[in-house]
Formats: sequence, C-alpha cells, structure tokens
Amino acid sequence: MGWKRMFSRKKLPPFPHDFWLEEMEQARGDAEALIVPQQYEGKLKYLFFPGCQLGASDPRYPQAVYQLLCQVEPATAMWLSCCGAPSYWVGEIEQYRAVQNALHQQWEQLGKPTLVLACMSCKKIIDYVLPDVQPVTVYEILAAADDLSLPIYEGMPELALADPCMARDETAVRKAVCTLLERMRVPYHILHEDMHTLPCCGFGGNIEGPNLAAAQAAAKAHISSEPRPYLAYCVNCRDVFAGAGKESLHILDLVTGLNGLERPTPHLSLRRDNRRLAKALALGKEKEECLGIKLVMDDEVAQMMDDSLISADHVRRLIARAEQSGMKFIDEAGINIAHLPLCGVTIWAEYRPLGERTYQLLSVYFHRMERVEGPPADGERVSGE
Amino acid sequence: MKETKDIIIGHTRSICPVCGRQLPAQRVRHGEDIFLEKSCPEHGDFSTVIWRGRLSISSWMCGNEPLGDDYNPNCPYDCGLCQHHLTDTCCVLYEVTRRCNLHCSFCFAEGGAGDDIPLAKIKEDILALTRPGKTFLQLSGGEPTVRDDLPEIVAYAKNVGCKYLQLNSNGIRLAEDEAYVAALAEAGLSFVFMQFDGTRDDIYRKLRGKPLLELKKQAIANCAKYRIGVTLVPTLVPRVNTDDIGNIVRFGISQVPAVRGVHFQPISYFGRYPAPPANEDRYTLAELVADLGRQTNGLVNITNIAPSHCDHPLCGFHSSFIAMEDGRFIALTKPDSEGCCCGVTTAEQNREYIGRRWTRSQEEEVTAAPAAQYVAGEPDDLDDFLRQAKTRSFTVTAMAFQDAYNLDIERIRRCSLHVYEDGKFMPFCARYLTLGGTE
Amino acid sequence: MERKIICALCGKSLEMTETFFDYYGHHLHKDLPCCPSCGQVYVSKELAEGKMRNTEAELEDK
Repeated sequence: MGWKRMFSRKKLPPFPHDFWLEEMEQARGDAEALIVPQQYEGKLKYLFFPGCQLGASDPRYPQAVYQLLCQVEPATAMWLSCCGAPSYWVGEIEQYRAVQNALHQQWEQLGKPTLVLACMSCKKIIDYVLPDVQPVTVYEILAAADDLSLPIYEGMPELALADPCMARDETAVRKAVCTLLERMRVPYHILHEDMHTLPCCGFGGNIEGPNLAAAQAAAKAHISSEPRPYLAYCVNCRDVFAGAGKESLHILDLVTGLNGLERPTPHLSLRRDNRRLAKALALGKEKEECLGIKLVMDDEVAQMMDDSLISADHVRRLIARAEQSGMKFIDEAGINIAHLPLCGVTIWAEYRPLGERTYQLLSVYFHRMERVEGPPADGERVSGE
Repeated sequence: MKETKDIIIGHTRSICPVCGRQLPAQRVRHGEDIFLEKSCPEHGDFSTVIWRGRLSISSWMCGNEPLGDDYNPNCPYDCGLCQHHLTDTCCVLYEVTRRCNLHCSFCFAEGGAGDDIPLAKIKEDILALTRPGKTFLQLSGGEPTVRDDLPEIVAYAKNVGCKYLQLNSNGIRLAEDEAYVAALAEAGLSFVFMQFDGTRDDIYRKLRGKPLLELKKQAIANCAKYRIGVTLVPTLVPRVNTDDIGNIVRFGISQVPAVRGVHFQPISYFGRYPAPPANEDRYTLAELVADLGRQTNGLVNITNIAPSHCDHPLCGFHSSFIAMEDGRFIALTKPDSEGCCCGVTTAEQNREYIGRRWTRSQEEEVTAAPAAQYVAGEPDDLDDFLRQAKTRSFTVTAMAFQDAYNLDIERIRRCSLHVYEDGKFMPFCARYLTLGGTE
Repeated sequence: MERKIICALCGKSLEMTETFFDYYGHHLHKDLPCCPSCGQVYVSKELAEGKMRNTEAELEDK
C-alpha cells in the first residue's frame, strides 16, 4: 500500500498523524487500568474491554456499563486500554502487532476469560489478528440477560438505527441491539438493511487529520436524507453524527440512562482528560487528582484546539516548559505567550495563570515551518549546479 | 561486450491495431529500450517502443499496481465508464465543433469541415456533464474559436457550475480578434490551452502547414491583456521539434505571468496522421525527461519532475516552479531520488492542482523587466516569495496519449481525462482510438 | 504592532531581527520581533495562520 511506504520513507509529515498514535499511547499509558474484583481473581468469566473511545467520549460510560455487567455476571473484570486500531490505520504495522500481542498476553494471564467488547473496530481487529480469543460484544451479553432490569422509555421518538461500518455482516450484534431496544420499548427503524454495505460515518482511518473535508462529507452524506434522530452502537459514530448536527444516542445511553439526545460531540482535544477521569471513576478515586496542570477554556478555544489537532496534553507541556524556563512573552494585559516545538509542527498558546497550577487558555495556533538557527551554510543559499 | 538479453519486465493487456481485439501484452526490454509487444492470431506480432534511454522505468512506476485479473475483457469498448475503471473524472473534454481553421497533418480529432452542433444541444450536454462546483471542463473540437457563440457557451458553463473552464485552441482567432478574447474573459474563461509547437516557423510549416509563430505571440499578448492564463502545448514529433524543447521552455518562462506553463504531448498515432508509424517516429516520456534536462541546462530535470499520480505513471508527469522576477527558478516538486513523489492522488486533488496553477492570478503584479536568464534558485525572503508565488507559477507537464499500437489496458483504466459524448464519459485515448494499422 | 509584547524572561522590548525557517528542504527568512537579550522569537497568530500557512501551502506543491 502506497501510504505505508510513504510513512516509512518519511514522506508523510508526522503531524497530524502522530496525534492519533499519541491518543493510543495515552489510552495504554496513564489512562490504562485493570480492575479485577479480588474474590474472582483466577476465576474470571468476563473481561470487559470498552476500547479507547468509550471513556474518551463520556468518562462515566465504562464504570456504568461495568456495573451492569457485574449484575449479570459478578466474575467480571474491566480493562481500560486500546486494541491498537490507530496504529493499524496509520500503517505502523509493527506497533499494532505489538499491541495485539500484549492484549493476548494479558488475556492469557487473566485465565482466558470471555473478552466482552463495546467497539466493533476492536472486534474486527481482534477477530482477525487473534482468532483464538473469540470476543463477544456487551450488547449480546446484555440482550441475553433476561433477568437484567432495563429502563423502559415511554414516548421516545422513533430512532434510526445506524450500524457502524465495522458491524458489516455482524448480524448477531445488530440483533442484540434490536432486542435491547425492544425490551426498553424504544421504537426504531433500521437505517441500512443490507449488512454487507453499511456506510461509513467518516471517522475510520482517522482521515479527519489529513482530509477534514472528506471526513465531514462522509458524515454529512450519512445523515442528510434521514429526519429521525440516530441510535448508534459505536461511540465514534455517535460523536461524529452529533458533531454534524444530528441528534444521536448510543445504545448504552439508553441502557444506563446516562445521556439524552442533546449531548453534543465531546471535544477531541479533551478526550485524553476524559480517559483519565474514566480511570479515576473506575478506581474510585477523586476526580481532580489525575489531571496535573488544570486548563480552563471556553468552547471556542477547545474548538480551535480540535481544528488544529492540538490536545490539552500538548498545551500542558507547552505551559510547563514556558513556566520552568521562563521563555515566554507577555503583553500589557498580562497574557502569556509561549511555544512548544514538536516534530513537524510548532505550537503556540496564549494563556493567563490563575494560580494553583491552573491556567486559562485563550488561544492556540501552530505553524509547520521550522525555525532554524541561522541561514543555510554558504553556497547553499542559491542552489545551482 | 555486454550481452543484451530480451527481458520481460511486465505483463498487461493491449489490442490488435488492425482488428482491435483485446490481447495479452508484455513490456519487454531490448537493450536500453522498452517495447510493448503483443501477438494477434490473425494479424501477427507488434512491437512498439514505449520507453527509450537510461531513465529507470521501474523507479518511475514505483507504487503502481499491475493489471492483475480484475480487468474488463471488453476494454476499451465497454466505455462510458465501466465498473472496472479506477479513477474518477479529473477533467472533462467536450467537442463544441468539428470545424477547424487549420488542416494539420496530425490531428487527434480529424478536425475539418462539417455542420456546427446546435447551441441548444451543447447547453444540454454541458448541463448533463457538470457537477456544480467541481467540474473542470475543456472546450475542444475541431477548433472551438470558429464558433462566434463560444463566449455564450463559456458563460453558460460557468453559470451551471463548472469550476474551471479551459479552451483548447490553436490561438489564431485569439490573435486576430481581440474583442473575442475580451468576450471570453468576460464570460469567465479560466485559461487557454494553446497549441505551440516551437519557437521557429519551419516547425509550424511542417506540422500545421503555415508559419504561425507571430500569431501565437499575439494570442499570448491578447490573453495577457485580459488576464486569461495561457499554457503552451507542443506536440513533439521526432526530427521536427524535439530539438526545440529547451527553447520552448525558455520562451514560456520569459512570458510569465501571461504563460502559466508548458504541457508537452509526444506525438501519438490516432485520428489523422500522415503515415503508419515506425518506432523511429515515436518519442517517449523517458526521452522527453532526458532532453528537458539537457536542453534547459538542468533547470527542469529528473530531480524536480514527478510521474503522474492521478493517472498511470506512464501517462505523464508534472513539475511546478516559481519563476522569480530576479531570475531565480525555484523548484517546488521534489520527488525523492527514485523519482517517486507520493502515493496516488485523487482526481479532485489533481483538478485543483492544475486548475490553480494554470489560472492567472487576479492580484496586482509588479511589472518588472523579465530576467535575462533563469537559473535554479531557492526562495529567500518569505514576504517576497509569497507575493511572487501567487503570480509567477510555472508548470512543466506532459501527457503521453496512447494509440492502437501502444494501448495499455493497465493505463487506460486509470485515465482521468474523460471525453463527454452522448451521455457517456470515455477515457480520451479510448474515444479517439483509431484502428486499421498495417499488418 | 498595536499589541505591546515584551520578553517575560528579560523584561526587554522586542526588536525586528532576521529569522530563518526551513520547510520541505527550502530555506526562507523574515524579520520578526525578537528579544535582543535571550534571542527568543515571537510569532503572532496572524503571521502563523496567514503568511506562514500560505507559504507552507505553496511549498507543499500539491
């Protein structure tokens, strides 16, 4: 594939592709958590693996769904991590295989419990690379649990069931989602009957970075001819549709009662923080502890960060560097301005210290041209023969 | 003495130039040159040179997927476009007339006489082929400027949403009728693709039947006055103008910003041509790249030329430069040492690339005396570079059309230059394919 | 510059100084505000999202 070769020959700039690899590394790094109920150690039946985006979208999801699963089967553990899909999508095959191998090892160490997934991309990759694992989805488990009491929704408008593209040919999963909807008395209509050709929402491949227009066009095409609100069972789809202006629910919103139709799409730049909060909730810790430098910003600035693929972590590193070294500028209003050189991009931020390791972020911007120390060596300035 | 062995370097499919049936074909290396070879059970063996010289064809074609099994056994006769076609439309070519004001010895469209196509039919077709905000339409013929209503056609096409409008023309009327040029500009014409075979009149006499150089220069001047960009398009014929390549490029650069670039078209044998071609009557892309380097003293050379990515790499190349006012010629295309630039480009990216570079900027240009000489250079002051980059772009591009002798199915299924006719889109080389070669 | 910016480290006003950039193998320069003491260079949002972005687009070619 041309793009794999491109990246390996350093033809592709690292930015913005690195953004997604960093997301994955964070999901497997400081947001990683394995919760095993002590009394079931060595005797686990289920290992709930929500994937890297569920908690990134709403930090309450993983713990809420885990608790439901524990009602169905107490011998259930939860592992917050990532299956490696971002590295696969960017062509870092070695890395993605390493992630999958680590996943397999952990699953073996825990006694090979049934892997319970919430994300169909995770399922596609694990089915393909680790055929002995044979994961199932949380939707099938919950649908089969006749004794589990689920909320009943009266007067819910009819929803359009939007299967994720990764659910192609996964008829059992769709059936499970429909069963859950029926049990909760939610009227629905399947948007795209043919499971061979389920359309894409535009998230897959992380194409938003290199080609935002294509990603947006895919989302727009998906929602354009359907007036009803959407019901998704992929959290990325849900967030993409919400971002494109379509009222969207995730099936887990209905099952847990966590969110309604109006939830906007969470900021891309804040997803790493959400994962940390999801971990804190799962470990029963105080929310605030986990975040280090605290950033305060309004929605417009968060959007600026999203559009530039700059995460809150990048800004924290920038501020930490500026505060430690003193290398920053200041204007008459007391606004600090500093930069952070990264590979292939330089990020700038304007901020105001608010005390107690808290900073108000006012603006972010970047440039790809790299500042260098001096002119090129003599003779290079005008190249010739 | 080195032993020259015939080596098959690739497999594809082609057609018999006599009867047109689809045949398996091989790309075969004999010595330094590469030939497309095929064998018709009825009409015998055919061997056509497709690559001459030391430039590595495998480096040029890096990243290209070979034909494989998934091709249309009826290609190119199922055109319009069949499901095996790989590339979306980058540009649409549409004939507005069969008439012409020249009678050239070489003509892909066999232009000449005939009744004119009714304007209503043209409008109907343009409406049908246009994807609003996206379409790059080339008005062709015959010679489109024989039509007095061409400005009306241009205005209509713009109105229904064509994003870029190109006129393919010999430039004669553009030289002789300034009011007509003004009307085309007013109607929204984006740029002119002007036949320009060389910097000497003996070339025009041989290829077009009369001296045309002064008219060409006048056409450029008139288009410049109304800010319509002009791209010079030489048809390269061995022993006629292949020694003039360097001069053509230098002339083009001297006319920046009126001239936006040069688009070389090695001669191809379809439509009307004086006699069935021998291999010595062919001029390959590889030779063009080498001659460009030699004849421009390295100003345009393999280090700044990139093979086609939207179309098949054997279909052409592109390179972009900024011709700065002070004589620096800055290369923007920088493929790596293997001649490979990047992966596949979409039709839309390709369309935007050429659309932007061939359109003359409407921004204020500093009028400076043209530099006496251009040498390879580098950008320097950022503000100055940016100001000039917007107005002084110069592209050197090429397209190698296919004929029945060298038709390659692997290439044609990636074609993004589509002719629109009777509701169908067809790759250019399929539409103008002419059979009936000698056995 | 309407906005008055000083170097927070040195407390000095900035002076326009020739600054060099690399991109895609090309080298360019522009005079930018710079601290005369520690040498740190200020790039404004307007510059980054304006001329620098446009220059990057030109040099990226496609």
